[in-house]
Parts: sequence; structure tokens; C-alpha cells
Amino acid sequence: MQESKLKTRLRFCLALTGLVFAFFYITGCTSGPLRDARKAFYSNRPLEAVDALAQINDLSYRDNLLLFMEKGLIFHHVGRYEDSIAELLKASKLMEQQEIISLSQQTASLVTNDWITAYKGEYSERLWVHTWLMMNFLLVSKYESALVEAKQALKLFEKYPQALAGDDFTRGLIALCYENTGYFNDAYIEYKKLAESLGDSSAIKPDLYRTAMKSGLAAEAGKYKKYASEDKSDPGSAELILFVGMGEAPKKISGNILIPPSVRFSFPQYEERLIRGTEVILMPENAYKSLSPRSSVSTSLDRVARNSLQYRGSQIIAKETARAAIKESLARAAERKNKNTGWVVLLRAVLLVMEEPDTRCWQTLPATLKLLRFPLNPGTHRLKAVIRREGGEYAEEIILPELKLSPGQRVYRSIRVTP
Amino acid sequence: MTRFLTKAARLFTLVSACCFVFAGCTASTRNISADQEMHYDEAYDFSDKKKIVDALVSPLLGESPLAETAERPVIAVYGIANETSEHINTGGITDAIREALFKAGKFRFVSETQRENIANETAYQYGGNVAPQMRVEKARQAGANYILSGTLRSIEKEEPKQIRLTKKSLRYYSLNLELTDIKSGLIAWADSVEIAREASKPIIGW
Repeated sequence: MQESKLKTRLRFCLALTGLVFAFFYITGCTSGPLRDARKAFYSNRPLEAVDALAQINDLSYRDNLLLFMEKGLIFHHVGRYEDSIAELLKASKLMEQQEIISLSQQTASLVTNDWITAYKGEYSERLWVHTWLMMNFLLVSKYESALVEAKQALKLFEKYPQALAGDDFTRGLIALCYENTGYFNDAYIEYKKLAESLGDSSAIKPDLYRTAMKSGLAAEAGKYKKYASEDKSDPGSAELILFVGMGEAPKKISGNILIPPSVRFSFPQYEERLIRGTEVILMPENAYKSLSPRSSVSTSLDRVARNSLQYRGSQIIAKETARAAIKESLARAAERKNKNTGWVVLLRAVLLVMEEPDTRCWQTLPATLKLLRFPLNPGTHRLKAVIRREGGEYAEEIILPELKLSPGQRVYRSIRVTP
Repeated sequence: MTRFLTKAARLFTLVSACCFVFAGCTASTRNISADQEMHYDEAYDFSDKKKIVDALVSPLLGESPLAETAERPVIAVYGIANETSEHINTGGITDAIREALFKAGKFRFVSETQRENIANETAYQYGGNVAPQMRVEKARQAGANYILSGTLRSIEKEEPKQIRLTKKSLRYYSLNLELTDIKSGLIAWADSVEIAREASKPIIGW
């Protein structure tokens, strides 16, 4: 009898140790290698971030998507666009494979937490994989491939319209991809959707006019003719399209609701923070005359990320409730079988501590994305972007590589303003 | 005895489980015939490329008015535009079509992809390093009579959201190919091939 009791206690102790070990293993170690890269990136040491990522040979399947996303963005930042494409295409492929729900991972997550499952990315993050792929393909002049990504992004817009509403930058980029490849009617449709989303669409009316005219929609074009005539740039002029990423993406933190004695509902939420406005002024390197953009579209990734997480809220609550019920049943079953209240209290404590929300997220994203279109005369240009904080405070200057433009040429550049 | 049997049964179960796990994870390879039609999902693959090329080359060789001309026409093969929502290397299709037509011996081709290299090589030969009698003659290149071009398109459709264990999706591909007479600007020949496929994917996996 005494031996049997001892055996039960031993098993219980082993199970508890296993749970504690699993908890620390899952939440603590897996994201470790990524942490150094993110830290280096935000300390304005992007090359160190690249080195840190290169050292990661094998990461848990749970964090593979995050690794591809972070690598893709850091490579983009240092101008290694082809490498960025390779990583983000891996992310895109993985997202497709992850559409199959893993029964083993989901079952395990019901008694532990969501860290045990493979990270699938928020709807917004999945869209931004295609956004960065579009930018990369445009930057390396692969316009047909950029259009393929635009179509992938459109599929996500159609699938999750509420979660992704307000991502005007990506919508503008999709329109640009269509326009670049000569599909003016599709470009016009996307510009129209963008105009609806923006509310005040005066900034893109020249784009609406141009694409309507090229699509042969004279009556539609007539609506925007007045605004288009305000565009004073020479029709034969070249164009610089500048992608600007500003600030730091919001991070997920843990939100908690405690119900005594030991039921804990935990959920991920984005941290609240104040985002300071930033202005980007483009001017010739040796002059102080700023250039005016023909059109400007921006997206607060911070806001879209929050919307996207909120849209998934009902799913999170349902799973959280199921997990709390299962954990409570486990604790009660242990109470019935085990007379030693010390062990039961310990089990309840372990289950409570294990209830950690999945706060994984793509952390190297900017807080805001801007798409600025500058008409430029054909010829050689040496330009700089002057960054000013709210209130006109000077922040930094970014010198763009020399541009050699022929008439009608459209070139792309991407810059990142870190906080 | 009973205890021994129980222990043996447990050991057997453990060993069997290990066998399943390790056997399942073993990597294996095998050669397959390139002519064999194989599809893992509804997406474009090498079997489709072969089908597309075969379906378009035969009518071009047999039915097009150009096939019967006494002098073999010169063709410049331009790329096939990818209008699908997948990253498909359409260069593989154009290369295969060019190769099949070339082997038939009824057409001649100019290499539009090598034009820059030809210009560089010619410039090098006239740069002073190559003996005059060895230099290629300038302005002796063949001019194309026709342009061969095409477009690959796709339409995708997925089953709407509902409670089920598998998700079906439909994919339709069409590739149209046309020959344009450079002199007149008229389309001398056009044809297309279509592929439609339904695939079913599980929603839940292990």
C-alpha cells in the first residue's frame, strides 16, 4: 500500500517536472537567437543583426516563420533585396503549409499554452510578407514577380477585409504593380479602392485620372481632370518612388484576468505607446529646396496590427476558455486522487504559471510606412532625405545613392528611419 | 509469467512506436520519368509544362501557314508574360517551344537574349586584338520575320468557409501563343491550351 502511494507520488512529481521543463523550454529558449538580431537592428547596427541571424542554423519549427520574416526585413534594410526575397518567399511558402491545423500542436496547447504551436503570424503580418516582397521585386526591377505578390496580397485583402482595412500603403503598392506592368484598368480599380479607404483622395486623383485615361474610361477620367491639371510635372519626366519605413513596430505583451483560486485567462495585446509624428523631406544634396511629392500614401502598421489582433479576438477567447476549463478539470481530478493538498496546490500553481499568452510577433517592422512619388527631370540627381520629428526637430539625414534617370523612367528606393 | 508477458508487451509497443517514428522520418529518393504525369497539388508543375508545349507545338508545325513556306521563316521568340498569381518561370516554356520548333527544322531563330553579348563580342573583335581576317562581318545578321509571344493566365477558386475536413480548390490555366508578322503587324497564327484541375487538401493534420 505504502509502495503504491510512493509510486503515485513519484509519477505525479515526474509529470509536474515535465510540465515545468516544457514551459521553460517553450517560452524561454526558442526565441533567444532572434533576440540579439532584433536588439542589434534597433541599436542601428543592422550588419550585426545580419551576422546574428546568419549564426542561426537551426531554429525550432515553432519560430521558423518569425525567423524568415525578421531575416527578410533586415536584409531589405541593408539593401540585400535578393536575399530578402529568398527569405520572404520561404515565409510565404510556410504560411501556405500552415493552413493545415495540426491536431497534435493544438491538443498540446490546450494543456500548456500557445507557445507550443508553430507561429502562424497575424493576418496583418501575413499581408506584410507580400508587401515587402512587392517592394523588393520593384527595387530589383522584377515587375512581373511584383505583380504576382500583389495578387497574393489581394487574396488576403479579400479574405480578411475587416482585419486589414486601413493598410493604404499596401493597396497603393498593388495599384503601382498593376500600373508598372501596363494593366491600367486593374490599377484604376485599386486606386479607386484606395481613394475610398483614404476618404480624402485628393493626393491620388492624378493617379486615378492617368489610369482611367489609359484604360479608355474617358467619362470616369473626366471626374478627376480638374485635380490632374494641378499636377505641374512634365509628362516626360522621370519619377522616384520612395518607400519610407519609420519607427518601431508595436510589441505584444501579456494581458491577464485572474479568477480565484487559480484560474487565469491570459491573452496577447499590443503595448500602448505614444508615436511621435515624423516628416520626411526630400531635397538635393547641396541645396535647401525641398521637393514636393506628386502623391503620398501612408499606413500606420501600429493601427493595422491592433485591428488584426482584435479581429482574431473571438478565436483567442474561445481557445482560452477551453484551456481554462481543461486545466481546472485536471486540477480537480488531481484533488480527488491525491489527498496531499501540497501537491495539488503545486499543480495549480504550475498550471497558473504556464498560462502564458503567445506574445510572439514580427518585431523589426516599422510603425509607419510611407509611399512617396516624386517627379524628377531626366538626368543625374544626388538627393538626401531629411527627417524631422514632430515640432520640426531635426532627427537625421539619409543620403540616397546617385540616380541617373532617362525620360519616363521610374526608379524605386527604400529607406528606414529608426527611432 | 503474466508479469513477464505484460513487460514484453510494453517493450514491444515501445519498439513498434520507435520503428514507426524513425521509419517515417527516413529520407528517400527515386527517379521518375519526365514523361510521367504527376501532380502533388493543383499548382502548375513540370507535367503541365510538357503538356502545354506538346499541345502548342504540334498545331504550329502542322496547321500554321508558315510551316509550308519554301523558305524557312526567321522567328524571334519573346517571353511569355506570367499573369498568374504564382511565381512561374515562363522562360522554361519558351525555351522548350523554341527547342521543339528548332528540331522540326521548319523555322530559323534569332537569339534576342544574346544580342547584347553579340554586340560586346563584335566590339571586342574590332577593338584591335583580333586579326582582321578573323573578324565577323558587321551588318550581316538575319532579321526576324515573325515574333512568337504568349501569355499564361490563371483563375483560382476555393470552396467557401464552412465546417468540413477537407478544402477543395480549383485552378484553371490557359496559355495563348501567337505569331506576329513584323512586316505587316498582322497576327499570322494563334492558338491556346487550357488546363483545369481540382485539388483537395485536408484542413486538419497530425
